[in-house]
Amino acid sequence: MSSSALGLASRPAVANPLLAGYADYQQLSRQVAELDALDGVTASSLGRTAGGREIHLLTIGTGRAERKPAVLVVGTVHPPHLLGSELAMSLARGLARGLAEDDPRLRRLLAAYTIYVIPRPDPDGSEKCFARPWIEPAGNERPADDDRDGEVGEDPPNDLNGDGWITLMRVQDAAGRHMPHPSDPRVMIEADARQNDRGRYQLYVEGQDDDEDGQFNEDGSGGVSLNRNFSYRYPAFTPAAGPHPVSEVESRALADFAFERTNIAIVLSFSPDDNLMHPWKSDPQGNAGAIKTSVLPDDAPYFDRIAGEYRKLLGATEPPPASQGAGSLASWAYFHYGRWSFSARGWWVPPVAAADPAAGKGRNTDKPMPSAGEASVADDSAAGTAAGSKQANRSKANDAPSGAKSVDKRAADERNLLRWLDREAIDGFVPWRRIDHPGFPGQRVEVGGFKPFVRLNPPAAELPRLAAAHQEFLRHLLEQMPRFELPPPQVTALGAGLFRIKATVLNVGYLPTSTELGSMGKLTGRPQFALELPQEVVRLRGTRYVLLDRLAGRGGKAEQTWLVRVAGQAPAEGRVRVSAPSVGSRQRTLRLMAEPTVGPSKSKAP
Amino acid sequence: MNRRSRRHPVAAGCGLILVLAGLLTAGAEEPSPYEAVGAPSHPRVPAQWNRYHDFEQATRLLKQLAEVHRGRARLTSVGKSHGGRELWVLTVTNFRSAPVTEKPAFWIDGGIHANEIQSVEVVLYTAWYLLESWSRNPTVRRLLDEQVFHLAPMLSPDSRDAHFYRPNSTHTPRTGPRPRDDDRDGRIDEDGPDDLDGDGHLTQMRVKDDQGRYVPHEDYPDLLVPVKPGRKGQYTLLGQEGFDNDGDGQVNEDGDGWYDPNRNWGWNWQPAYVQGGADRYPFSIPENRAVADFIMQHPEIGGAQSFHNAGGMILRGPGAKNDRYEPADVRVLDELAAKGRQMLPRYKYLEIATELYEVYGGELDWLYQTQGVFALTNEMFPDFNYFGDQTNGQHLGTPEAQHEFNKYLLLGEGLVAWKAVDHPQYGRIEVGGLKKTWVRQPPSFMLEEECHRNMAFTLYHADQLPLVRVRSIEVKPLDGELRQVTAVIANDRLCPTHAAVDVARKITPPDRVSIQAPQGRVLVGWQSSEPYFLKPIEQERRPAELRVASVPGRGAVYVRWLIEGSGPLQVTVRSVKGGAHERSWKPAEKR
Repeated sequence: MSSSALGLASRPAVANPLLAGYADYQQLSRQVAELDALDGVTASSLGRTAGGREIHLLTIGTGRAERKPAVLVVGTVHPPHLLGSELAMSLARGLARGLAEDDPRLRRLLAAYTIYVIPRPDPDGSEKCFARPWIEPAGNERPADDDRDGEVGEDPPNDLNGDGWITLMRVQDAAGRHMPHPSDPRVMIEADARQNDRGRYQLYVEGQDDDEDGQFNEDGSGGVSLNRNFSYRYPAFTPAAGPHPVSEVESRALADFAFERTNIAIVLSFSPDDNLMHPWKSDPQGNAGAIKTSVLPDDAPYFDRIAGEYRKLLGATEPPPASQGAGSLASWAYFHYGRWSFSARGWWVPPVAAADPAAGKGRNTDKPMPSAGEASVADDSAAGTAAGSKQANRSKANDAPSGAKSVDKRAADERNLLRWLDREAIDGFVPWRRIDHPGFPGQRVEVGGFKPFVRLNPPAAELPRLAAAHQEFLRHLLEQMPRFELPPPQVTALGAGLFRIKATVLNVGYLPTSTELGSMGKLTGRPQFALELPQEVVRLRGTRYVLLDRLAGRGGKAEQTWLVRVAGQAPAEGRVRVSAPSVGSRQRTLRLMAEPTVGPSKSKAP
Repeated sequence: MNRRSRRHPVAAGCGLILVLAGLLTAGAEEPSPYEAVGAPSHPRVPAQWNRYHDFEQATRLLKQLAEVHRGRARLTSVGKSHGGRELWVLTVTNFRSAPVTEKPAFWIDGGIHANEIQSVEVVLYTAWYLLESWSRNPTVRRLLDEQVFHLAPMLSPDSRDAHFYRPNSTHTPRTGPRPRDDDRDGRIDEDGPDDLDGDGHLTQMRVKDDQGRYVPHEDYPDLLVPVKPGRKGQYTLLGQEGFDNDGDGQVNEDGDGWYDPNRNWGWNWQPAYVQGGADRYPFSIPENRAVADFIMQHPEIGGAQSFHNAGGMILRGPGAKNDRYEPADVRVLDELAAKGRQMLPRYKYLEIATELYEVYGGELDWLYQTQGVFALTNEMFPDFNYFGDQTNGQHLGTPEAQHEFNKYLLLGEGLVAWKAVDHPQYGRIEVGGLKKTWVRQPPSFMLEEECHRNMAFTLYHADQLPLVRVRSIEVKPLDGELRQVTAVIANDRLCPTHAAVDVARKITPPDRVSIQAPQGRVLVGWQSSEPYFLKPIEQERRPAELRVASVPGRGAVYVRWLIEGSGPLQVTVRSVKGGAHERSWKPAEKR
């Protein structure tokens, strides 16, 4: 768990002001070590990255971790979304503290379940957030030829104005496609023929054409993104996707860990692939063929209900659209790993009402616009920075003082962001300032725009509130886990040493014993229903154990009948047992005696 | 699962043959007065091609070849298998003709499906043949001057060993030995087949049964056939040798593995519910990943053959119907295969997805779609080898044909006669059937021909890889100091320097055609697909090094520069997959 020399070397001289209060790798490692010292918490490493950093894993709970059903929490899946690891760590801390303080609800949950926490699965990628120039990193430290020209990293963005941030450049150009927003000239929008607009600017990411190939900043060797490297809808031949699915140390470590832990029932990750504010929908078309591309119909209601609970706990509205999940961890966890997969963005810029001198009070917020088609905005770092080119209309509400005649609704998100920055007094926007740019002789070039990170990570003061909400959500999730119940088996003595044993098992938890996809896809362990008998008892009907199909939630049941013969007079004792790695187990002993009996003992978890 | 690892009689027999072979080759110093054409008759490394090599023997052969033919062979291990065996790649080329990375390279692998054991022999044979023929065969010498061959004979070495030394059938093991819980009961590999009679061959179980639906075949009584209506049956078939090891009421439901190494590659991979054997994720099988890493580090590989059995087929992708190949590339594969069908009489040529069965995550598709490699698979040993006529189109021949062949060509050696054994669940039964050592694999007298013909086809395939040449340089003086230089960059081979899929996806960088004019200045450079420069493409930036998307197969690209200044010139072409070449031009001496 030692912090690497490399981590030390890349310590920035000036800290990223928008990430004040967020842990860098060293601080995270220290926090992990502190938790490791607590009862019920074990820290280990899933592997070492190319940058020499450990992929931390915390295993939390009492008893034997791998024998209990588990939830896997994955923190910062998208490297600049550092909120993810802060929330993951706060979940771990909350659980550990609850154990230490003997919180009875938590103690009960952590005796029954294991929580695995991988706070920062791509530590190399996330560490780039702390090094100048500040730009939202795409992925790890693998040298990546983003533009596939045979050279690596030959044209990264450049901090032309020396302010430490990579923002945008606007270049005055009669052929330009962009123009300032009519009511807020800081925001750039795309010219629209329907509005009789005239574009006056070309927009670029801040930088120069380092390799003189006519393109700007097309290859910053952004590394491979963990969240583009998984096998479900893997986006081959796109930047940051890597040479093939699961090609990276990080993705492989995570997948190998997950596949070896058959006890994992739920994967809770933090990423912009938000399916808690935007629950996945079941689409009959996506399920018509052999390859499933949408949530299976039996699973959809559970995703919906749990997402509803999340929305209640978080109490936030107007989320940005979710990214579409090509190659993402969250979609992999469901479609190729077969587990319940929930992914939370955790926070976003809240809607802020425009100052309204006429009305003097806030107005209701409208419903968010449908998000389809806004696919790549959410976590493409470059596009996220250059979102001026996207006509995001999400929070169209509170756009202008009431009474104003007509407000151009375009770029509502960005204008809302500016209002929020003003309200919170956050320095998150670089005003457009002219620079000399040798790449555009004779043209007016200005650098400016939103600073990276500002949309992904809230001010650190928000963290305790968010942590509490997610803490509550995790407890809620644990309380939804499937649970076996084993009523006393019915034992009928048929005479002459023959006994018929009928046993029933119920799932009394909210969730089914696995997802439909997991059982259809043969990805999840099957519940075993076993009758254990002494050697001298002969089975006439029914095998030592049977494998059950998925049991539905809230009362899904299965029955099994055995016929056995006990030689001699002595009563025999047997045991009926049901178990599944991601559900748990129950067992009951039963006695086979000459007279009909009912299994005496009460159900207990071994 | 029966884990007895003792060598069964067949394996022991192989060992004996090896000893005898050693004695024979030692005694074969006396040269034959009559040298047959074909394989070298006086090799420096003796080898015999009517027998199969186990992992250790193959390793010894590879090491010997690398040792004896040092200037033309290098043996590297690209990784270790699950069981700790080396994954050998023997690189064969004339290491003195040009750097390895500047020559077109051809990849050949065998034994990804370990039970398909002759697919290893053909790769070993290729290595041996190329190296032993180099000194006497000018065609081989030219090939090794121009090309690099990367030969990976055993992609699943653990399972090859298992096929040799543990009970198996001709069909097993297709998987590797990595433990997997096939029936998801929490127990791993707990109920595989069992070699009830301990002979090393997993055959069939039958029991005498008046109600049975099977009777012995009229001519080949060891073969059971369905009883005709109205007749009385004699036997019931009980499946492959084995019993219910774990007491779950199922027989042989969770043996070693199971996964399919040829469904685990990183293109169009789909999980096991779509594609059986896919395993956990692309390249979750480390043997595959090691091989893929090697291939990715060698982008000069432009062609590939991955050997399999059986059925007599040349296969091309795509493996799945949701995938597609560029039509221009299919035309190249079609032409390669047309020659193959001539060299491999009666082999069929099929597209996997539409004419065989669907394969997601297959090696061929990964080679083509992500590496831009013209790749084919040969399914060796066709059923028509039995008696010449294609018997049923099931790739392995009809049971009648197999038994007939066994009787007349193998003189009965191909099967285990039915014998009585005690079965823990069924009581007294009989086991018997065809041995594991043939049906998919050729018998000794056919193996050498299979190896040679298939190798010859891969040599043809390799010889069609792109090879760029600066064919000519023409210098035309214009006004004053200005000269117009035109060069023809030719590729006489069938394959272009970039497959269409390579161009579309920018898999490998463009070819670079550069001019050095030490006493001049390059002002303008452009290229054209025809010699008249009707629609030339100008490259404004750095015109001295033109980037050419691809040099077509059996074609050329025309490049032209305007140069200010006098003096000698040199034109160089560098292609990742098509090699490198240069040509100089000197002004004629005045007067």
